[in-house]
Amino acid sequence: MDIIISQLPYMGWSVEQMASLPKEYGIEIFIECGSDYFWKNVIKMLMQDRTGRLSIHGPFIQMNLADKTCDFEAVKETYRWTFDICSQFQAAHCVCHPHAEIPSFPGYRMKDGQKLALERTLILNRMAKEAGVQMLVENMPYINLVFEQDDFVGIFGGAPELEFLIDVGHAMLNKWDIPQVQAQLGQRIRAYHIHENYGDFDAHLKVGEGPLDWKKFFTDYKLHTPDARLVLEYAAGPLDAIEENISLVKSYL
Amino acid sequence: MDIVVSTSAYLAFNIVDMDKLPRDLGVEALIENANDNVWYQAFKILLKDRPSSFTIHGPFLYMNLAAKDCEFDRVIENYKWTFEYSNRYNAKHVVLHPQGYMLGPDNETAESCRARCLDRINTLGDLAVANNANLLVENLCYPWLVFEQEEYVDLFRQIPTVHSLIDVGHSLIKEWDVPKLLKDLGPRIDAYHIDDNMGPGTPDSHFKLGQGVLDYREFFTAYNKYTPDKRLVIEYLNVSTNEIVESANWIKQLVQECK
Repeated sequence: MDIIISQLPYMGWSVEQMASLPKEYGIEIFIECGSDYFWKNVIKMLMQDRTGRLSIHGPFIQMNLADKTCDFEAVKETYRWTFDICSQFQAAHCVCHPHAEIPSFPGYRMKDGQKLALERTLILNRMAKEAGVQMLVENMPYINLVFEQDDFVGIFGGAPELEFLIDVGHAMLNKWDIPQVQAQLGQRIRAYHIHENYGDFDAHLKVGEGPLDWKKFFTDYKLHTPDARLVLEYAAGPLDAIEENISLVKSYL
Repeated sequence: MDIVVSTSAYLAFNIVDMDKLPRDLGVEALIENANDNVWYQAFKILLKDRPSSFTIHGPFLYMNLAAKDCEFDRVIENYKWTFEYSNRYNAKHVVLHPQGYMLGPDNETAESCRARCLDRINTLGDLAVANNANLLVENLCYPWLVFEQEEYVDLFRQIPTVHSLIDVGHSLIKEWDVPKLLKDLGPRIDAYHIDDNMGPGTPDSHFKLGQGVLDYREFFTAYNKYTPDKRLVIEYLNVSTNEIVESANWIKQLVQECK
């Protein structure tokens, strides 16, 4: 089982600080927050002598796959670039946001949005597979979701080629039944974003800083998804606090 | 007077929040901090109906122009990419860092290191001219500088294709004589980075003006005397849009008061 630390507390140039993370842990970067030259240099530096895996969070700023007004050709272009980098640096996975907030254009119908998001997600997934990349579909944090739990599991889960990253904090925010999702999607859940919150906003707190029963979570994890990667996606550092928190996570395993 | 705001206060996903910035303030994009799609989408919103200046901070991470092992061919490619943005969006300038972090010259004399740096800046200056871009060389605050104040001034005598951007926070950290610097460079200065810190030898904090120890009245007096109306780029970290707007208004007031 891989433990990977998200870049979230180290955006911009501060990403360089992640080099001091013990080499056994991986790093998940937000690929759209840097240029091609930037990442090709930063990844080389971060991953030097690192046994932990690189994973990549795919682009999502200003794009909504459920919205017909979204420029999907531009989305495909930026994902093509992302998959190239995933492939070049053997990233363990690439995370995909299948939608943003519920589209606001007049006449929007949820069924249409869901259909469009599924079609586009499948196209991106095919592109990923052609590039030899494992793309993972993530559940979203928004208050009003295009895909609530049943639709996420039913519609995306109904496409057998798709694999998933379950964001535990997002599931909490929307009061999803996490053990049920774990049981339903099983080993198609290839990774988790690990963090928590108090149900008020997507706080990305560290394990133990919120109300989640992590003992129960990891019991279900071991039962249904024992090999899934754990991406600790915390809002704040510092790195020594994150390392300390990794020890806590390990104690649950 | 042209006041521009750096995306330094809107890193990563926060770039969308920059749209709340009043339209009379310009935008300086830290171009290496996002990919093409983010900039393409962001500029559609950020630059729409914004008559104020657009400027670019060129890439600088992993490219130390002073280092022997700098892959300069890749730097040139990266700057060609940057100049394409400069042209497409009519940027008023592109900022260049003349060196990276250094503690001293690496097994060579300072002169040979400086010569290499000058040669590369000259090449990038020619490339800028060929691409119709206005390349500005910034003063830095690393522990060892290839160009200390006198050498920095001399750089612009040697290379006519580039102009200067003075970062007032960096000059504070390195204890440069700012009134003399502005007097010596005069019209070769095309813009400033405005930021503050706790003084010589302290970290490059990029505080709001007034939050550190910069003698801002001395600066704006010299600014009015030697380089009136040159662009002022607010380059702060960890501040809100409201704080930036307040600071911009205060800067406008200080410029008037120091006349």
